[in-house]
Amino acid sequence: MKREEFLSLIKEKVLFLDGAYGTEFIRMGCNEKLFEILNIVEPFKVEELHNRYIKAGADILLTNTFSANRFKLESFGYANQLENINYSAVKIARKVASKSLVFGDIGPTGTQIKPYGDLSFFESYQIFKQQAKILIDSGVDGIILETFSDIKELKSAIFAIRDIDEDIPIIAQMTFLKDGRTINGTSVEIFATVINDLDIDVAGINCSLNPQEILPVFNQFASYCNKPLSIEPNAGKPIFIDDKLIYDMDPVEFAIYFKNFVDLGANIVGGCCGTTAEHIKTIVKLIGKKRPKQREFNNKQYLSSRIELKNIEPFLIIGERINASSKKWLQRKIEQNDYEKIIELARNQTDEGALCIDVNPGIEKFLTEENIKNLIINLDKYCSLPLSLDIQDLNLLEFALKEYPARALINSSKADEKSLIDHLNLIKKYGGMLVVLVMKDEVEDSYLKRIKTIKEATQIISRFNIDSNRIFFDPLVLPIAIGNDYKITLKIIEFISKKNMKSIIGLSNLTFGMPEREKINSAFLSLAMEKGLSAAILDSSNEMTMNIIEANLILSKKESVRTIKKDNDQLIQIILNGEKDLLIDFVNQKLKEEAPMKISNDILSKAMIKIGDLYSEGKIFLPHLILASETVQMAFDYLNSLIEQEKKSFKGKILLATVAGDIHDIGKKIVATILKSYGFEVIDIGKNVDGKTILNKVKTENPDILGLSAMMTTTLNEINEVVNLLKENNLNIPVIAGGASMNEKIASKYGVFYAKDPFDALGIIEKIINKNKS
Amino acid sequence: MKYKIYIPPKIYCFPEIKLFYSRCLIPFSSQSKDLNLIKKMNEIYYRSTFMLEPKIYYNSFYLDQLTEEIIPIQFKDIKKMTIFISTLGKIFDDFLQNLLNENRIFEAVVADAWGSESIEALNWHFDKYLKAKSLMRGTRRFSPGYGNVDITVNKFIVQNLFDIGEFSVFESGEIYPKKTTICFVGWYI
Repeated sequence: MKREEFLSLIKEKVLFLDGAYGTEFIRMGCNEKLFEILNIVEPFKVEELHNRYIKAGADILLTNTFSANRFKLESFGYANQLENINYSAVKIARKVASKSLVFGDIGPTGTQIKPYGDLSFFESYQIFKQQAKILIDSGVDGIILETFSDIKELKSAIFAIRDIDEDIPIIAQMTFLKDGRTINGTSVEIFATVINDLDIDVAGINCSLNPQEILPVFNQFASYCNKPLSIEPNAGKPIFIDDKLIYDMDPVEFAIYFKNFVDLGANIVGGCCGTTAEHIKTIVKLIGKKRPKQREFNNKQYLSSRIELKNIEPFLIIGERINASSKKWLQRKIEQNDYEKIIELARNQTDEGALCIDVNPGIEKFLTEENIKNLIINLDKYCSLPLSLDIQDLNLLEFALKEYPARALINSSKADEKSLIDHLNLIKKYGGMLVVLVMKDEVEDSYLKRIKTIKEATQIISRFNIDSNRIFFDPLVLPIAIGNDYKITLKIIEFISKKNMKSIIGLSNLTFGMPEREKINSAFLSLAMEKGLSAAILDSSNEMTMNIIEANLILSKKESVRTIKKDNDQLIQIILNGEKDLLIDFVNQKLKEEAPMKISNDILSKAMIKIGDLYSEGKIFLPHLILASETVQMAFDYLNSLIEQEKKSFKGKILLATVAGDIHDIGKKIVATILKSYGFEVIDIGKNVDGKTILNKVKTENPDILGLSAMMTTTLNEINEVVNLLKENNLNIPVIAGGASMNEKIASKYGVFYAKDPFDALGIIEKIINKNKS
Repeated sequence: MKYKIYIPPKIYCFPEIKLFYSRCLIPFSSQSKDLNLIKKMNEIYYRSTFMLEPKIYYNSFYLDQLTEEIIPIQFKDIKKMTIFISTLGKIFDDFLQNLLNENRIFEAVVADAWGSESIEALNWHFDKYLKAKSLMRGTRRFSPGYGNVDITVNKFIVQNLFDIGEFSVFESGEIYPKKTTICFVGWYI
């Protein structure tokens, strides 16, 4: 299948993947050490499982080849079966698939690659290339890479497949823990921003978590990823009952969440470990034929290391001190593969506030590929910040890009066509951002000539279909000591900024060979930032420069002065989330300083007023309001239990009832809950209550207001009956009526107030009580 | 016996999730924005599925066998109609009532919304089932309480026409268990 065809298919409808293989083979009684061997020794079992998934409604079948890579097969003694296992798997799936697609399944090698293991990037690449070639030659419609926890390993697999076939659809999935990070610390946002640049068709998440746990991780992924999305959670946690492996989530509990995945923009959904055909069938039933949702995603630019994601906005500070061109000793260290000092330099710049570390390995003709690989591997392992690769030799740069797991800045390309195309090809394949120097063979001294160079470069970039936001233009800061005019640089920065493009400078060049560099650099940086400069490579140990950046950002309102999140905002979130335990902790904490009454009246009541405002503004909905009311009511009850009976104070006393013949209780209960959470005393005398009982209660309880509920048209008149009964007994108490069949007109006819919803009832009650008080 | 009974697979009573959220007054556009709320609502969706005992009582009548009060004016060209009484059963009602009694209002509201959409899903399914089985063209589904048919006819239908003991019907037309509905489908024959 061609990629274009596949992409148009996933735009049409949400596709269903199949379920688990390994756990299902265990349930089928297979006890092979490696289930992929079944493709040869018991193919009918694989066929049976495929068949179950097809009957359940799967649109995509995966081949039984998750572990059928050379590295894993070798460890089980099946190395000589590599081709046979993979080829047979495709044959079996094809036989069953009918109209469904067959995707070749490729899992990780099962070992760690450098820097966390011994396998090199190249070996990993070769292993995947070998397996992918057999699967593609055997006729799969696409390849799925799943359950990867090392982004570098995943990248090696992607590059391997693309080097075999540019037109085979690829789904690339990683697996995350509950905190949204892989076991080696890569966040789901880093995965998204890295994969956005790579030449794949669908990106997704699978395994490790059940649907409920994976939902927030997927939500985060969906908001950063610009590719179509896939998701395959586990069907709960594995448990053994009488030696039988069972996952603890039944099909319905599992399937409910798939509506949320589709809402968040999933194009392809299925299940990982523990997912049976019954699970897939239930998802298919609940989702049905659905067109994938259009998504909005964050299209800001980020640089990342394996574990840190850095927004390049509002200003990117790049530390300049790993620069072997100006430090001979540093070059020697790189040549000797001695990285201790380099790592120390990286860590110092991290502590100083740099957001990215520039790495200039020095005179490149003295360096080998191994030097560059080892340099990057060590920085990947020990430096948490993203790297700016200041490498000019294209071959060495490509080695660095292969080894670097995340999203780097390439520093830099000249603006001449050849250099630019070479570098654009690299970021197109390996991802990341690029610095383009505003010069061709030599630096132009006039403003107009440099502007022309920018315009020509922009045209070349647009031909490559690369987002211009991935490019920084370097207008070139030239030493002023030899008579260069710094104002030209400032004018070019202004031009770039007005075109909504990004600019970057190497700040220290300005004062090369001068005394008191710090002051002049800082002054220039301030002027450049005013003109719209986006990034600078600089000495982050220089306090004056770092302070100037902070001050400029505050002045331009791009960075607000840090504020500590107010207690009250946290409180509102706790209440809205229904976190009863946290709320009691909060109240107990406050009780150390405040009296219970004060906490009720000044803190909780005020929080509820804010929540009410959020509801009125349409920012939260009725379920939020009910949950919040129920939560805060529990805290009120707790605080009330600490207050002596005679000192308790309520805003007013409300009597509530559902009238005779009506057994609807919920609306009235909601009103009661909300009123209590706003400090009213509520007496709820239940449903199907006749007029006489209501009358007697009004007499004995003496409430401020009577609230009546009638859901059915046939019971509406009961409200009128009660009102008349009250009049006959000279009880002049305000009555509020609500319920599905009630309206303003009927309420007015009966001489009662009409509340269209519980919050409206609260408003009316507060008005009446306040009026009575005044 | 004045009726036939159909016991549907429970899965036919599982409401479409977006309709369930909407019934809880969460607009489509906001349905996946608050993951904390969604988690709580999905948990109630799941728990609700265990409370189902869906059952449908049904029978067909020539219109001249029926009193005028229960015949919708829209059925003026119809000679025969099927009346069906669908219920989610008493366990679901008890589940709702227990939540209310325990003042777990949020859960009660969400479960009630689920029940309302669940019975809608059941009615939709049975309507399709009837039409597929009869091979006749039928009218749109109709329920007492709309148009000219007053909801108070529920009592007559349950007690006289069907004579089912397991339901209580108030004079107001309200049926107990609460998640119970009465529907008509007319046949063009």
